[in-house]
Amino acid sequence: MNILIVDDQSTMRSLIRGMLGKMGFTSLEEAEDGDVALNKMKQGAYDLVISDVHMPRLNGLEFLKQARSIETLRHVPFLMVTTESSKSAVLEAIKLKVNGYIVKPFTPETLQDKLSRMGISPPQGPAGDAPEETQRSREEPA
Amino acid sequence: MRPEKQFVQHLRSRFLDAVNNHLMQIQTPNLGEYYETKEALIEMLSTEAGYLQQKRDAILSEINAYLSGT
Repeated sequence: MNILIVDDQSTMRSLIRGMLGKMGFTSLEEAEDGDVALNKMKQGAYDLVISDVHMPRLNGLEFLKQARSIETLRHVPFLMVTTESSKSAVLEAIKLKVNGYIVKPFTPETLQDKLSRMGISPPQGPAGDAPEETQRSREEPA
Repeated sequence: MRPEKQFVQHLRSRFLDAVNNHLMQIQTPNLGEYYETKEALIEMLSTEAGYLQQKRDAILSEINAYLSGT
């Protein structure tokens, strides 16, 4: 399970990476804006993108829009990270077929719950113990 | 929505985004939970302070641009 974390704030990326690591996800990559993320997605295969909305250059919504317009990327699950006041951003993201959204500030438990609802589960047991194939077989369709 | 109301909503969203990011960092029950060393934790807090300053400057510059009509 390859996860791409997209946020212009490196401390937020580290925090989300830490939360996912504690859940047992081990293959985690980062990008500082939508532009960098889109290029990474074109070059590698990702099973999930967790992206902030407010970012310079290419913001989260534009990034989602562009990813959804590319045939090979349009089915990659997206979890959008937003704020309480960004209702219009959430509506826009839903129109763009976002798979889920999470409101800041959130806890590791909320993140895990959101991922579960999207059919994305961490491997069982301590981080990194489960082989890749086992991780995939435990996932359910979103 | 009137342009000025839209701008206020936009500012509110930007402001909340910066504050919420910061809250997520400092509200973690054990601040060191995701950082292996004290130095790494201090480095994070220092970087965080820098981001807050940057976001404050960006928001102020947007307000000034709006008020001056540019």
